[in-house]
Amino acid sequence: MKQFMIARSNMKKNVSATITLCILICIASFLLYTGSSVLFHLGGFLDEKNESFNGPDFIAGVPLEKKESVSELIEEMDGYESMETEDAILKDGCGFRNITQNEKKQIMGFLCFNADTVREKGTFRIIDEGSEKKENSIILPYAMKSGSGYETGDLVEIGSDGVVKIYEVYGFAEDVVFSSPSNLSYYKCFVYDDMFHDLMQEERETNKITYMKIKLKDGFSSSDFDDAFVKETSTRFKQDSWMFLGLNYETMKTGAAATLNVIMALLVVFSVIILVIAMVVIRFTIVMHIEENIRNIGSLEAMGFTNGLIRQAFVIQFAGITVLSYLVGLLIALCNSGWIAGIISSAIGLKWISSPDLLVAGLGLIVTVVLILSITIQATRKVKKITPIAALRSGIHTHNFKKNHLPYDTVNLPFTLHTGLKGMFQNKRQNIAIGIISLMLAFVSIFSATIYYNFVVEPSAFLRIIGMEKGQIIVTYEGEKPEEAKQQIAGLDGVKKVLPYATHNRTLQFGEKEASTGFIVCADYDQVEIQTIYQGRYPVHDNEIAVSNVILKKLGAKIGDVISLKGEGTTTDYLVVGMTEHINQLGQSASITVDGMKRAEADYQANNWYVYLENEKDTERYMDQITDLLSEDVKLMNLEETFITTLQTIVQAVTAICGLFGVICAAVVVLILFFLVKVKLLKERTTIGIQKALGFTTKQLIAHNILSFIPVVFAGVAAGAVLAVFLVDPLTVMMFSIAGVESCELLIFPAIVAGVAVILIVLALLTITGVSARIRRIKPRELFL
Amino acid sequence: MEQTVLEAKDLCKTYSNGKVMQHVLKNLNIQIKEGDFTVIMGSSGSGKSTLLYALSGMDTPTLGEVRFHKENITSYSNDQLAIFRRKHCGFVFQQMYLNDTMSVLDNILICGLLVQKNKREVIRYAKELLAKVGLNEECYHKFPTQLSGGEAQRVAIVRALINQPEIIFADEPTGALNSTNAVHVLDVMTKLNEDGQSIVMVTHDMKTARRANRILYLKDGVIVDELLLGAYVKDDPKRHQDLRDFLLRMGW
Repeated sequence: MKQFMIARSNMKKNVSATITLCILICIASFLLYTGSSVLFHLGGFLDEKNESFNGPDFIAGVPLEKKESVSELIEEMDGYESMETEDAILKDGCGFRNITQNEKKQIMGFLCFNADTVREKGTFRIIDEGSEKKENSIILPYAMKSGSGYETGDLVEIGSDGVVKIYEVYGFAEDVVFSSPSNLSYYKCFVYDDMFHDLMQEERETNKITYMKIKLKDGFSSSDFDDAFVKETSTRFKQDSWMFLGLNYETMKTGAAATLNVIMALLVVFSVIILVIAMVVIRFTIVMHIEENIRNIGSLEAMGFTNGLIRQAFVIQFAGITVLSYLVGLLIALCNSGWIAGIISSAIGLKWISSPDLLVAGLGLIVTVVLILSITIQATRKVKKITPIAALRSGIHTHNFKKNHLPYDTVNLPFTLHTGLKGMFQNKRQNIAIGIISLMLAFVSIFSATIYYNFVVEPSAFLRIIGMEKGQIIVTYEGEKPEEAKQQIAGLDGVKKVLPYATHNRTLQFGEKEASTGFIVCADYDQVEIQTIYQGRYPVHDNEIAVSNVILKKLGAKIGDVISLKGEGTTTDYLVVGMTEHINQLGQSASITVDGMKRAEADYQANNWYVYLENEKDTERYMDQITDLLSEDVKLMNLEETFITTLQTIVQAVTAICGLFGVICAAVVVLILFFLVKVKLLKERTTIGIQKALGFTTKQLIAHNILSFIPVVFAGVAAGAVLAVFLVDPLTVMMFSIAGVESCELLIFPAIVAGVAVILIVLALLTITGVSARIRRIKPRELFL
Repeated sequence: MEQTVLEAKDLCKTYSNGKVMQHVLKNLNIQIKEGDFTVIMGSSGSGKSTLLYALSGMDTPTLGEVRFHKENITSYSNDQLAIFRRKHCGFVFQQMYLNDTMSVLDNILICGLLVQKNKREVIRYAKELLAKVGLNEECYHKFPTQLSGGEAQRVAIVRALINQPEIIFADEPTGALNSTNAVHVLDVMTKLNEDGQSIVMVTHDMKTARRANRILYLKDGVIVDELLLGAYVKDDPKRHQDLRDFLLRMGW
C-alpha cells in the first residue's frame, strides 16, 4: 500500500524520533498496564483471597470472661448468620527479632492462635511450608516474608514482659484483615498445640481473648454491623483501651488497599505524563518533517498523491510505532510480573498473583493509540495547506518576518551569550517543546522527592496526615495510685512529659443519625505532638468535642452543633468546637477531654498514658526503668518501634516509587534532549558548516548551541519546581481525600527543591554538551566539495 | 613590487574511499600577490573548488604547503584555521548562505563582532560597506529571503569584507544569479579590486572571468597555463578576444 511505503520512508529518515518515541511509549505502557491492572483487580483479589479462607465478615476480640455475654449480644443482632470462636493471645508491643538474619527487633502486636484448632471460618494455607514440624514451630504472617524478608527455617525471638520465646519459622499464612502492619498493628501468628497451651499458661489473663469470627447474611453491610456492635457494647459493657472490639471486613479491606491504590494511581498518572511528552515529541517531529521534506511532499502531490493519503501515511507511521512499542512495554511488564508481584506483595502483605489481563491491556492500548493519533491528526493538518507548486518552488515560509530577535546593533551582550540566545529564539518551536517537557519532568521529580522527604526522611507532616499520636511509650496503669505513678514516671530524667491519652470505641448521635467511632480521650490537647485539628480547635472544657470531618459528614453535623455521646442508657451532649482530619482509622475519630469523658462516664479512669522522651532512641531503657519503678502495676508498649514497623511497608513502597519516578525522569530528560539536540544539529548542519567556514571555532559553536538550550531548560525546570511547590499539598490531599483529608502542609525543603532542579539541569547540560560535541565532525569543505 | 600574500608549494590533494585513490591536485605551485584578481577556470571535476578551499584554509592538503605571508598554515589545527580565516579571508559562495533567521545587518555583524571588539565601529563600517555596494538603509532590517539574488549576494560580499580581509575567496559568486544581478555583483567585485582588494575566484563563466587580471587554467589537477589580462577595462574587445583564444587553446 502506498501509504505504508511513505510511512516506512518517513521512519527511515527519522530514526532518532522513532527510537525516542518507542522508548517513551514503552515506559508509558509498562507503567499504565502495571498501575491499572492492579487498580482494576485489587478489590476482587482481596475478596477472592478472603473467600478462599472463608474469612469472617466481622471479628470481635473480647476478654475470656466476656465470651458468653458478647456471644449472646451478637447472635441477637440484625444481619447475624453464624459465628465461630476460638481462644487467642493478644499482646501489644511485642518484640519480633529474626535471629538467623541478625535483624533489628520490630515491635508489633502479637496475635497468636492454635494452628491445630479445627476451624471452618478464617482458615489458612501454609506458604513455603517447612519440612519438619517442631515443638517451637511458628507460622508467621506473609507480610513478614514479603516486607521483612523472613524465610522458612529462620529462628525468631518473640515476646515481651518477660515472656520471650524462640521459634522456628515453619511457614507463612495470609489474612486480608491482618495483612499488613500499616493496616493493623498486629502480626497474626499460629503455633501448634503444645506451644499454644504453654503460652496460654504463661501469659497474663489480660493477654488472653476469645476471638469471634462472625459471618453475616448475604448483602448485609459489615460496617453497619460494626457500628451497631459498637453502639451495643459501648452501652452495655465497660471496655479497656487496649482491647479491640470490632473489625469489619469492608473497612479493613479498604485500609489494606489504601496505600497500594495511591501508589498504582500515581503510576497511571505518571504514564499519562510520559504519553503527553511523547505527544509533544510527535508534534515536533511531524512539523519538522513537513518543513524539511516539503519538496518531497510537493513532488508526491505533483504525481497525484492527495493530502489525505500523505496524512494517512503519518497516521500509519505513528499508529504502528505506538502499537508495537505498547506491546513491547506490555511484554516487559509481563516478563517482570514476578518482580512487580514482589513489590505489591510487600506493600499489601499478601501473595499477589496475577495473570495477563487482556481487557486492561486492550483498554490501555486504545487510550494510548487515541492520544497519539489525536496529536498526529492535529499536527498533520499543515499538509492540507501545501500545494505542489508552492512546495516544489520553495516550500512554506514559516519564518516570522516581524522579528529579528536580539539584534546585534541594539542589544548589548557578550558576543557568545548573545549568539547563543539568538539561536534560542530562532528555534522557538523546539524550545517550547523542551520547556514543556522540562517543566513536567521537574514537577514529577520534585514532587516525588518532596513526598519521599516527607514520608521517609522527616515524616512529621506525614504523621500529621496519618493522625496517630507519636509518643515513645504507652503505659497502661493497673495499680491503685495513678497520680503518684504518673509523677514518678514524669520525674525520670529524660522524660519530656506524661500525657493521659487513650482511645475507646463509642457511638455519637446527631438527630436521627448515629456513628460509631474511636474516641480519643486526652487530658490536654495542647500537649499532643501530632495536631490533627483542621478547623476550629481541640476541646478544652468538659462539654466540648472535636470530631473528624468523615464522622461529621456521616452525622450531618458541623462546628457549632451539639452532638450526643450514647452511654449506658444515657446520652451526654457536647458542643462541636473543632474538626479534625487524618487517614488513620479511615479518617474516623472524635476527641474529648478526660473531664469530658467523666461527664458521660463518672467512673472513667484515665489510666492510659503516653510517655514522651527527650531521646527517642532510649525507649527500651526507659521501659526498663518504668518496669523497675512500677513492676506489675503497668503494661508497657514501645510505641516508637511500633510506629517504625507499622510505617515500614509504606516507607518501602514510597521509596520504590519515588526512586522509579526519579530514574525515569532522569532517563527521559537525557533521551528527549539527545533527540532534540541531534535533530537541531542535523537541521542546522549547513549553517554550522558556513559558520566554521567564516571563522567560528568548534568550541564557539558548541558554546552557542549549549546557550541556545540551557535558558529554556532552566526556565522549564524552574517553572516545574514552582508548580511542584504550589501543587504538592493539593495533590497530596487529592491522594488521601478518600480518607477524608482536606488539607495538609508537607515540609517543602528548599534544598531538596533546588537540589533536584540542579540535578536535572546538570543532566540536561551534560546531554546537550555531549551531543553538541558532534559539531566537531562537521567539516565546512564537505558542504562545498 | 607587489607583495606575495599567499603561496602554495607542491600542493597535492588526494581523496580516498578505501579502495580508489583520486588525485585531485598534483604538485601545484601558485603565488597570489597583493591586489591580484585571480580567476581559476577549468572543466567540471578539474579541481577548481578543491584548489580554492585548500588555498583558503578550508581544506587541508595531502602534501605540500600553503603559506600566508610566509606563515605555513598547512600545519594549523582546525581551530587555528578558523581563526586564520576569520582574520585574513572573506568568502563569497554561489548560494550566498546567509542566515535566513537574521536580518541583513545581523548577518554582517555576526562576522564583524567575531573579530572586532568595538561594536560601534563595526556597525558604522558595515553600513558604509552596504552603501558602497548600493544597499541603503531600507535593507538593514530586511531578511535575506526578502532580497533579490543580486542584493543577497552583495550582502554576502559585505559580510566577506567586514573584517578587512587580505583575500576574498569567491566560489562561483554569480552562478545563481540572472545576468542583470550578475553584472551588479561583478561591478562591485571589480571596484573592490580596483581599490586594492585581492580576490581569488572560481568560475566557468567567461563574462565573469573577463573581470580578472589573471586566469589560471586547471586541468586534471594541474595548472596547464596562465593568462595575464592586466587591469580591467569595460567593453574591451581585445581583452575578450585574448580570453577566448586562451580558453579555446585550453580546450574549453
